[in-house]
Amino acid sequence: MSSRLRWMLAAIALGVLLAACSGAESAPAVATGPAALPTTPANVPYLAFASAFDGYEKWTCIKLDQPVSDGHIAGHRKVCINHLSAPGATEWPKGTIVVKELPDGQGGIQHLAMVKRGAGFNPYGAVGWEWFELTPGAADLIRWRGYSPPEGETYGGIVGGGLCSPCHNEVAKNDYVYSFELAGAAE
Amino acid sequence: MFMVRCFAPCMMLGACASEAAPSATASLGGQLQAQTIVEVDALLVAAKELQAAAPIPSGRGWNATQDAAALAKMRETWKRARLAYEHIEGVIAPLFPDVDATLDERYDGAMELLLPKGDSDLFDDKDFVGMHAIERILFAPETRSAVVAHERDAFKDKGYMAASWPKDEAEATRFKTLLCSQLIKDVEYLRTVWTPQNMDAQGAYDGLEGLVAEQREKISNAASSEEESRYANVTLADLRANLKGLQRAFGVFEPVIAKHPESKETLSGIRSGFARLNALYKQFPGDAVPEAPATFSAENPSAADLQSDFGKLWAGVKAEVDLNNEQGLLVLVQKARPWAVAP
Repeated sequence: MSSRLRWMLAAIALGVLLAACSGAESAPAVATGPAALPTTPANVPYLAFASAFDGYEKWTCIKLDQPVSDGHIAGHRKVCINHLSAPGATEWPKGTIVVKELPDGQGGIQHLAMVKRGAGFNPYGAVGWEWFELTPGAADLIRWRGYSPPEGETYGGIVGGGLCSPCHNEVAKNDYVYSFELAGAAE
Repeated sequence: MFMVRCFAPCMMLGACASEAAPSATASLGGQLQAQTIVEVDALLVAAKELQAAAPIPSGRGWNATQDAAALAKMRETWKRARLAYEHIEGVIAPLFPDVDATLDERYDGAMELLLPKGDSDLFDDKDFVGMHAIERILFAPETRSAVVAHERDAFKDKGYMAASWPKDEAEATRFKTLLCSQLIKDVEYLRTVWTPQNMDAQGAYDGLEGLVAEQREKISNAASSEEESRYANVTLADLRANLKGLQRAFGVFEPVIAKHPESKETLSGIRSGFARLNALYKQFPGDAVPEAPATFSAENPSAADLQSDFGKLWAGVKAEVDLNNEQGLLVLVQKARPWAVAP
């Protein structure tokens, strides 16, 4: 229930973060190639559970080696995707999962993920996408999930960094994904 | 699909709690999902019965005498719908925040999103909808004055509209054909999207923990005059139903956890926690949470306030969901997770 309110608050704070978003993730990799995806009807969302993230390190991964210059987050990141864009695709298919490793600001690594849930989820944010934080190796892999992080969570150690959708709205033309380019997005 | 088709009939027969399955961890998710689908179906039946009972009197609104039978039927079915959802809310809400918002949003939550215009039509299918929107209308004449005052004060000049029964035929028609229809549509949507998707053991255990968290949320809301089923005044029934759903869900995991000898003490503690909560809820008659003292502070409750009926209930629940209480239900449920989700 409160997640709707959190989303609204997130939207209000959009302006604050937009500057921080730009350049946060650059050097998109052009990705092509098919992968197995759920075949449920369009109105049925894809629900990712812990096993969906198994072995993500072996998916198609890229390293974003340039430190971010705007101070929003600093350090090197690694981003992995389970499914590469099909030729000409203008949106990521349901079941697409992107996992990002980034410094957590305390000397460790934070694991965030976005999952293409589809079925109109998150209509006022990154449409179709659900956000996650993962804790690999823990018995409870999925730390949180939903429209946005719960209160008290951070992004790369930055309080208030729970505004996933507003930042990713900057790349709505690439179906809200920064690091991998849709084959048909530029057409 | 296979798991639910396989386990739902088995569960109804109470026959396959320890049966071997193709994937032990996936079967836990399948069993929990089967449990929740039964409740979604019950919710749908109740929602349809409620709509069917809603009267559209010719040339007038609802009347306590003339529509007594219909009103009684609607209230009975509303409570049935409520209990069905409370059995599963902790599982559903984290997975389907969109559905939870449409089905179960409280007036406060909806109004905060609708500022400054508020909900200009109580009876249509826009803005504030769902079980509590229906409840607010259905139980309007009996709603406690403190609840009315709380909402009026919170949203005065922010779109507040006092609740009432439909005052004319047009409002009665909209209640039945729009507001009630929307509830049915939303439950049907949940039934559509909550298809078997091989929910794994971790996902299922997240649902179990979600049910524990519901206990905390409900008692916290009650302490701040935002209790959930405030118009029907049945929030204690919500708590009991939630606990029942929690115990039922835990029953899915219990045999798996018990396979680990080192879990014995934790399991015993969890069972004790359930027993404590059940005993606590039995201390209070009826379905209503006792009224909180006007001076009650959830941050720093006074000794006197803790001796009130509300204080005793609040303290009892809080102890079970306190992350600092190693013998509390929440901590013990969290402690049991590795045994529950181990492959």
